[in-house]
Amino acid sequence: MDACGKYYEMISQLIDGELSAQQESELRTHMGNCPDCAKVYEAFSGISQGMNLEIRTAPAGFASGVMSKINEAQKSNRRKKQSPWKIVFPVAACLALVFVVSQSTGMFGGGKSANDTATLENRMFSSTYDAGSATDAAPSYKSEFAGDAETAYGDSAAIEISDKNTATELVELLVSGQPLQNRDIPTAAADYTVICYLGEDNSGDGSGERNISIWWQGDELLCRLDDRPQALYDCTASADEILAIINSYLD
Amino acid sequence: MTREEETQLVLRVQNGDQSAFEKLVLDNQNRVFNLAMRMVNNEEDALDMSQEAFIKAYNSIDNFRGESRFSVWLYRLTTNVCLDFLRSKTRKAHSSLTFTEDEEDGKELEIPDERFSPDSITERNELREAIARGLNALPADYRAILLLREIESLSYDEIALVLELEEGTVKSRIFRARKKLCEILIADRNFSYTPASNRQKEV
Repeated sequence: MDACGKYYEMISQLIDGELSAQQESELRTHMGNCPDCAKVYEAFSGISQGMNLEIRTAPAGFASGVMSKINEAQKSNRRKKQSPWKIVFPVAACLALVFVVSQSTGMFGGGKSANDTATLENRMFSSTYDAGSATDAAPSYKSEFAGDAETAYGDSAAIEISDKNTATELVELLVSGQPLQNRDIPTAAADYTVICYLGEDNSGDGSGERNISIWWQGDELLCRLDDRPQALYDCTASADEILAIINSYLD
Repeated sequence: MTREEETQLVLRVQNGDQSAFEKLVLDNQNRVFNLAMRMVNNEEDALDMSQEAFIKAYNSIDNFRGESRFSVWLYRLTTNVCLDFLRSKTRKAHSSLTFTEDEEDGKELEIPDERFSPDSITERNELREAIARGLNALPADYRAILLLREIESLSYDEIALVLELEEGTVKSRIFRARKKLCEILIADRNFSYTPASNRQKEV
């Protein structure tokens, strides 16, 4: 019966206690006169009561099992690729990545040689950090970018990536690795900064943007979320992969 | 655990204290396992799903901003892990896991009969068993939403957070899930016994 269509849905809400007093009273009055709706109400409440199924509990040792897995993952080689976990963005958000481009110190300048790699190495990390392989040539890129977290805006041109898929893919790669614990936040200026503008407010400080600072280090990237200074991540993609994505977007 | 205690533990984990995470696991493991168990209906798989959900939670702990309880966020991770698992399992079988809700709109609600109001304990147990069977036969999205509402007792707005849906969608999906479950129960051959029909046979 079409007329009862809206009541059926209300019955469902009544079972869940999600009707206003007025709606409830309207519904109960109707059910008093409508046997079909009364039956639907009985069925839905029967189902609801019948769903007090046995509560299953986790077996003993479950928690310590989880913690050992976490420890194993921490100790294992960080350079190993892991599947990126998803950063949850609101579905309606339009994600734009703004790459701040400036002149440069650019490791990503076209045709750079290993010499520049060496210069870059000097700028980097405090001595407590193991700099790793310095022999890889710096990846090349169409435009140059550099800058540190404070001067990221500078007088540079910005490249906006408004294609949501590209932007999402990039962010997922950049901040997808293991969180790094117990290590120094790099003291050197970040090699580049990615500013993510989100369509809706999705950052803790209400600004609607998230900054990701990136340090290039040999063949791996370290990324830090500026809104959480302690959040330093190992980027699972290589610099080459990141640049390939950017370059193909710019084509 | 109070919300305040939970917030403190999360902060400690975010600042690098791994052991604080174990306390969060202990406090939430039953909820997570119970949900996973009802979703995938297999203990071994449910344990894997539960573990995966907690590991994902640990790895993405910086994304948890405390707008909801930690358990709500865990429910979201658990539900997604289970839905992904179920989707990959049935990909070969070509069955649609995400119900095309349009399909259901046209169909009228079948008016249920007295089976749903059990009088005796026997009948109540039968209904409960039939419901457990019926839940497993539901499309995964419908199963998830009913589990969250009926077993984990989440409110519509908490469910909206867990499943990342608009509240209006939560409302209508719960209704459709119940409607579908009714249809499954009515068609359930093992559930066709009713005292009334028995009496009729004797006549």
